[in-house]
Amino acid sequence: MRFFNRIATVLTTLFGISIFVFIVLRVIPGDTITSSLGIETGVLTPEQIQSLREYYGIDKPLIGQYLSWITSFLSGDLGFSYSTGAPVWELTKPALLVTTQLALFGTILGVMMGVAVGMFSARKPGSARDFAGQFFGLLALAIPGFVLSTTIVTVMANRFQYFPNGYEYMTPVEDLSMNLQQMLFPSLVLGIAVAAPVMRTTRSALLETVDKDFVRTAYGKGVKPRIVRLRHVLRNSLIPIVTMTGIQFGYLLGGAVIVEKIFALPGMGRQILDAINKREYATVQSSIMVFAILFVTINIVTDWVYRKVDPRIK
Amino acid sequence: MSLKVDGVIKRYKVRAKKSTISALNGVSLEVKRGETLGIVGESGCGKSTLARLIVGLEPPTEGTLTWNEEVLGKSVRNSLKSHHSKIQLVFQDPYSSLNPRQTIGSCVAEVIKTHQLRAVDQVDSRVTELLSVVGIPMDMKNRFPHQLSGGQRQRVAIARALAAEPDLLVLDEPVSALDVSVRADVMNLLVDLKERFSLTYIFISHDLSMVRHISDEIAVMYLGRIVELGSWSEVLNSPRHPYTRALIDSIPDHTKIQGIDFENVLEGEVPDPANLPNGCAFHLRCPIAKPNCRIEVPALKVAKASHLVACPEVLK
Amino acid sequence: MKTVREKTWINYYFKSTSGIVGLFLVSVMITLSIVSAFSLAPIDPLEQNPISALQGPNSTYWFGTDQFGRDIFSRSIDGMRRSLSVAILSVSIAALVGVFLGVIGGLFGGWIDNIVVRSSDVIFAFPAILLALAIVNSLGNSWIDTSIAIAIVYTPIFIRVARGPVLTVKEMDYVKSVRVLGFSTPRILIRHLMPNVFAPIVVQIALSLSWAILTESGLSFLGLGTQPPDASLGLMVSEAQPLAAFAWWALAFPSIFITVVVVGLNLVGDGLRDALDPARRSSG
Repeated sequence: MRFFNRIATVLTTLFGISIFVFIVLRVIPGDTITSSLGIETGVLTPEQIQSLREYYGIDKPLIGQYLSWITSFLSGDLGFSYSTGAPVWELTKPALLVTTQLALFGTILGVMMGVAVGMFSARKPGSARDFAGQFFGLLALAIPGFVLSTTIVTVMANRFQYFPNGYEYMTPVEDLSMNLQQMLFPSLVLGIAVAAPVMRTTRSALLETVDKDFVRTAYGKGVKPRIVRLRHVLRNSLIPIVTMTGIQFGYLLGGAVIVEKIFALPGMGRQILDAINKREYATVQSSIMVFAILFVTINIVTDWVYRKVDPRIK
Repeated sequence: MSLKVDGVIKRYKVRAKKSTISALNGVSLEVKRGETLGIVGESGCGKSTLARLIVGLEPPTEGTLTWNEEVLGKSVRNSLKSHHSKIQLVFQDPYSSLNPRQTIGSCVAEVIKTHQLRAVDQVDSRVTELLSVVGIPMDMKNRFPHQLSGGQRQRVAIARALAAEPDLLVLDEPVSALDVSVRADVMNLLVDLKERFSLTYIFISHDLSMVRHISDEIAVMYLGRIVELGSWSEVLNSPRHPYTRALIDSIPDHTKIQGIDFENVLEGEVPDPANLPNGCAFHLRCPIAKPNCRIEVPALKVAKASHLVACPEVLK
Repeated sequence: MKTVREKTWINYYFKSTSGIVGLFLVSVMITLSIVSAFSLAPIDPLEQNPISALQGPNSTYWFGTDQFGRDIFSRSIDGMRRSLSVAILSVSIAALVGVFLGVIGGLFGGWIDNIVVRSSDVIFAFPAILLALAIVNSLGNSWIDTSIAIAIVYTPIFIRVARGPVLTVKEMDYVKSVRVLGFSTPRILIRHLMPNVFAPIVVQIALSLSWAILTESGLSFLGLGTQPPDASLGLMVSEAQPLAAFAWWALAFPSIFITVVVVGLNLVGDGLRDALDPARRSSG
């Protein structure tokens, strides 16, 4: 019964999201969208243009436009891109894969780094190493992703003449080695951004657990400190770390826009960016909606995992 | 001035479990000026709920509360307004009942200023007066609650309640959270205030020995109902209801009543107010329960002049 | 009838090193921005001087010049001024609206609360940059439009931060006591509820300012927001990309500015958090 409640909540949120996306894009003054259809139709076939008219709900009142859009969207019609003539959904699928791969790698790297530094810091709170760890965490947060990326690109491309991202993008199936190389630096940049909050969470979770009685007992029993740290302290601190990881993954999916642009990865972020510049509103609208749906889904999954993992919540 | 509680029922819906808790199941009583009514019962019996209803924090689900012939508001917003703050409340927990960010002086002064009970230039002296009445020295006016002991905080809470110049003061377990050694002091203060200012109290406690010191009349509550009501000497010296007898017998130094041994009746946990037993709420623990007790809910009937009991067995 | 609280937390703040360092860094940046705002910079940020193009840091051009011979120092402080303006305006809006909605929702509960929470969930569902992107795209590139966009993105966090304490404190005995004492709702709100909301909000303001600066510079990096030839830190980094290999200063200094102000704001947030933490009040 409670399950249905949650579904209802999620659906309401998604409904709200669709309205919000609609409003945000329709704020564009005048009939820029609709009028541009007359001029910038590019390479679209007449059928595609008609489909796009339906997608936008041209000549209908505002509510009609919204309904047109929503029905088109839900039936799989995400509009067409003027410049390529392809349906947006066809463009979205591969872009989504790229972004997901990037976000995944970034999260994994970030969690590894964040947990490592967090553990390092938490061992001796208040000490110089703790201070160093926290300082790096702060820097990781404060240095903008675009700065880091630009620096890497400059150094790698010019100093070391090594810049895999200068070549055409390869999916893992096409050329695994190239793909991994192309993913390396962008994942690193994203990973650093993720590492900061993960490090903070790890550190505080560890410090909290270490104080607990069962840990002191383990030390007292003479268990090797290393094992105590790994088996008892770390394992019990996992829950907040896992939750934070889920949240970060969700953010990475959307926050990778800049990194994708700099490293020329054809992901969702870049797709939206290009669409904005080319005024392809259908693409923008649909892509953002897809993003939001993904994000909400990930939140639900994280939440569900959290409930399963934490024995205290029943 | 009088307070009348008539057939009051209070139910809470528990959304998570889809059930309803009946905190109060038909409570009726009356308090007149200058009296002190003590309400006794274990936790879960509904005494705190009754306190909240009397004070106006929540409206009853059914039944009426009448204050000076005026029926108190039925909605949450109106119930407080009807009182004009003449019914005040002292909470159990001295640690959470005072605003941690306010000095105790300004805390009491705020009441006076809000109700404009004194001219602006007289507020300060009134605050000093109230604080000294409860035994707090003047130089503590600018202290914060966390700098005071539990007993001192309760005194401030009492002063604050008195600052509103109430007609009726409801005290919900006012000394239960205090150290045993401090309790007597605060209880004596309450008795003293009552006599000095002719106050009217409703004193709620699970502890009979506390209630005994201060009450004129005692009402015994069990699972949302009053099971016995009478003067303090009647109830304490000749208790009739099985539950009252069990309560009294469990007081260590009290002399035992002859007859059936009620001493060990109150072992184990109090039943869940969400799952009330049928018939008499007490029948599952009652040593003199009969088959009829499982079916019929006993009403409060007169056993002797102004001594009411809700138990058909005893009334025979 | 002042509560003495207001004076002491400032004292506590100055006991924290990170707080002091942060405040110092932020003050430096604010001062530089004010210098720029009143056009007191030695050299006009827009002035092009092709002869002096691509010079490294020297006595005339403290941060060197870019490919148009513009002084990077002047442009940096001008860019900082823009970023700070946007950050301050957007966070002010977000905080005012967010706290208002959060308090209303927490206080009244019921359907009002539901709407407030649902609305903030909707906005939360979008990654910040993307949403800001889309809104700026719709609204325009002026600094006010950018501020509105960022404000919308960061309002939900203020709703959440304000609503939480209100929900908890509402149930506390001392709030119930003052209700029984007949205090009016506005009075209860201002004197008894808001002080508890104050602390987390102030900390959140510092943090949000740092995020706003990152978002604003991210947007201008992407070409939204401030347009050339105006100076904006993100735009400067973007313009420095092709030059970075041989004119490191064009990339370095704007980047350092951004980093310094973000670090500073975070440290200020930490300092505030420690200063306002009730756990330290027990030391009297």
